[in-house]
Amino acid sequence: MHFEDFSSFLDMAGYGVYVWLSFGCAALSLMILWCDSFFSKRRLFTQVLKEQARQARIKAAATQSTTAGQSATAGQSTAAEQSATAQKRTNGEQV
Amino acid sequence: MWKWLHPYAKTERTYHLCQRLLPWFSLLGLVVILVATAWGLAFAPMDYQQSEAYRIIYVHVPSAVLSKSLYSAMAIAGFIGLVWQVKTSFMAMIALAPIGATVTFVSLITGAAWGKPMWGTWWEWDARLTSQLILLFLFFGVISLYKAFEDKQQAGKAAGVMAIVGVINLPIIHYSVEWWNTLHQGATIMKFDKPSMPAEMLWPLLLSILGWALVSGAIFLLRMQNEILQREHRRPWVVALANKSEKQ
Repeated sequence: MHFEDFSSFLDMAGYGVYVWLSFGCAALSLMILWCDSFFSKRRLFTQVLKEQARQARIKAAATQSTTAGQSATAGQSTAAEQSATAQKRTNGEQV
Repeated sequence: MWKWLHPYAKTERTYHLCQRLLPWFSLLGLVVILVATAWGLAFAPMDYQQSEAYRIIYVHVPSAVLSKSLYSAMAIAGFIGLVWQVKTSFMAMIALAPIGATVTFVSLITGAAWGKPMWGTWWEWDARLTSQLILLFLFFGVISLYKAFEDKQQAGKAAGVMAIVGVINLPIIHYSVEWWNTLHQGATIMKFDKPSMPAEMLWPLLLSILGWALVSGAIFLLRMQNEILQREHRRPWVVALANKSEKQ
């Protein structure tokens, strides 16, 4: 150990401010960069899951509207109405 | 000869390679950088001329060395992407850019903090300092040019050209201390003859350069994975990975 005690280590022969400013800035910068890289990976995964859920909802809405169209044999207008509302729902979810 | 490289043009393979390498780089990097910094800060002898202030060298030199190495790596990745149209190469290029910008920033700040007690000024428009500042702006340029394009293949091409053109700055930085009269001292360890530094100061310095390189490598692996995930977010393997990560 080069220094005799902890306070002389902090003091760095009077250059403490400059030495610790340098090391602190380096440590902080690297940590910020690492955190950004690490947490954006998680964010990307949640985005992928959200997108997947959205696609599933759109698919579900589409199948619902087609089955509704098949069952409504009495009038074409009701089926069209139902598919229109389904379409609206998907559009709403996109926003 | 280069056949073994071809599968890595496939992003899924590259992603998993990054995943395998990541713990090694992170762990080794953390250990080496902590040991080297502690060694440099507390155990290395004092400099006869600069007293304890010289210890800034243990962050200043690694960050400066890495700034140039990372720029070279980024430009090479850009070149490979442009010539052989490798998509993953552009991703590597843009994954490297923020790391390079950060270490360049650190080298400038630590340089200023060293310059103030030794030269009496935080900043001087001198050849070495200015060319290093230009390096920082080149990194910013590559990042913002890449972000400016919606089509990422186009973005990679544009940013790649910029990265390659900027390589001209690297020899200027290196030889600035010889070509011009500068405040900055000449090369200490990157010389062909013996380095002008005693071994007990040199070892922690070399070790800290290695530590910085490993940590940069670890961050690069993370950012490379992020780039791949971003570009391939619709692929089934990415969706499967996301589902797996959620369960954990």
